[in-house]
Amino acid sequence: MVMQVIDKLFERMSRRTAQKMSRRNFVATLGAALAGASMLPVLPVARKAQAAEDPGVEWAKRVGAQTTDPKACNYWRYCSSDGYLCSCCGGGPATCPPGSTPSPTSWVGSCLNPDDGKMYLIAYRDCCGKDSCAQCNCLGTAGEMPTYRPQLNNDIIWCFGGSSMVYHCSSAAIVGQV
Amino acid sequence: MTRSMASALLAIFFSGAAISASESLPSADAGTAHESVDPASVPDVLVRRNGTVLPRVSGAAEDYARHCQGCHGHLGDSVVEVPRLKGRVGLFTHSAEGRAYIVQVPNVLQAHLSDARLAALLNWMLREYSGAELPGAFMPYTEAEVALARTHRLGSVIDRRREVIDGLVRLGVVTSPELFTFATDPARY
Repeated sequence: MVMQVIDKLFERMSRRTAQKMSRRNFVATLGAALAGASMLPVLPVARKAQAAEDPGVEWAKRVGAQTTDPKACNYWRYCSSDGYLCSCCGGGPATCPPGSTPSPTSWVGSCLNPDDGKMYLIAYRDCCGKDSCAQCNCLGTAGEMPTYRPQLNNDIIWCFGGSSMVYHCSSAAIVGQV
Repeated sequence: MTRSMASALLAIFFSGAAISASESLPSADAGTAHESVDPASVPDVLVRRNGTVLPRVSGAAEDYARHCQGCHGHLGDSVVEVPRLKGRVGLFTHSAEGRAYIVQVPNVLQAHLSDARLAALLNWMLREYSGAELPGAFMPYTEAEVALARTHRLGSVIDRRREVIDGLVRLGVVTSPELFTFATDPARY
């Protein structure tokens, strides 16, 4: 039943084509259609869809992420870090400066390492218990959610569970390779 | 178009939609967090200098890392403000209310994960952190059970938690609710 309807439809279409078009015209049109189809993936719409896959990848490309200088905002681990870099405050990207303590809680995101092309899980852990460091202010927002999704937000202070809620700086420890 | 043909096309359309919505995981969905990465292979100045050994994380273990680990910790044990998973969370699966409750905890219920991935995550988490406390005939969560439990939103989470724990005491699963204490107040469980 279904096949008969499809049969009829195609028969009518091919008869109409045969009546209206010359053979040369048909081959030219078909050729153009095939060539056109292969061009589709490079149109901006298709490329945008691919780029939207992972915000960490997009960030790494945009800022020219690097793996050697943890005191610069484009150090690869900082794709979702919002605040003062602990590396500029006497600590490191995964260690707190003297006098501050790491928060026992953090939020976990992922960044692209530009040198091996792999994704790594990064724990964004604030160092707390000392006045704001105010050095190297960076803003990465890859994968960040609005504040009503606080567990994946970096505008709030991540010092929960610690002895002090005073924010000093932001660290970014690698916690795994995806 | 005839009516039968239209309904056949509709059936094809909806079965396709159902397959894509279930977002089923590949066979290795149990995930792993036990494999480690050679520090020399990681292009990062500090990992190489310090010889930091990282776990390779995938599947349900990766979902745990992304959605739970920040507060519950990678060992399932964190600060007093965050209920401990280690050696404890499996006890909830001894009652039907408890099974539903651990899906209905707000950050589990609202997690940005499909029901199938959430089921895989819960099964992995229960075995990883609380295997010894699971009932002998533990039935893993299915996508359908998670989907059903997620349709119900808890009013007061703390009140529901107490009810569920009191139920576990009545069932004889635990002798006292004190095992479930969290926060700095010993009366809170």
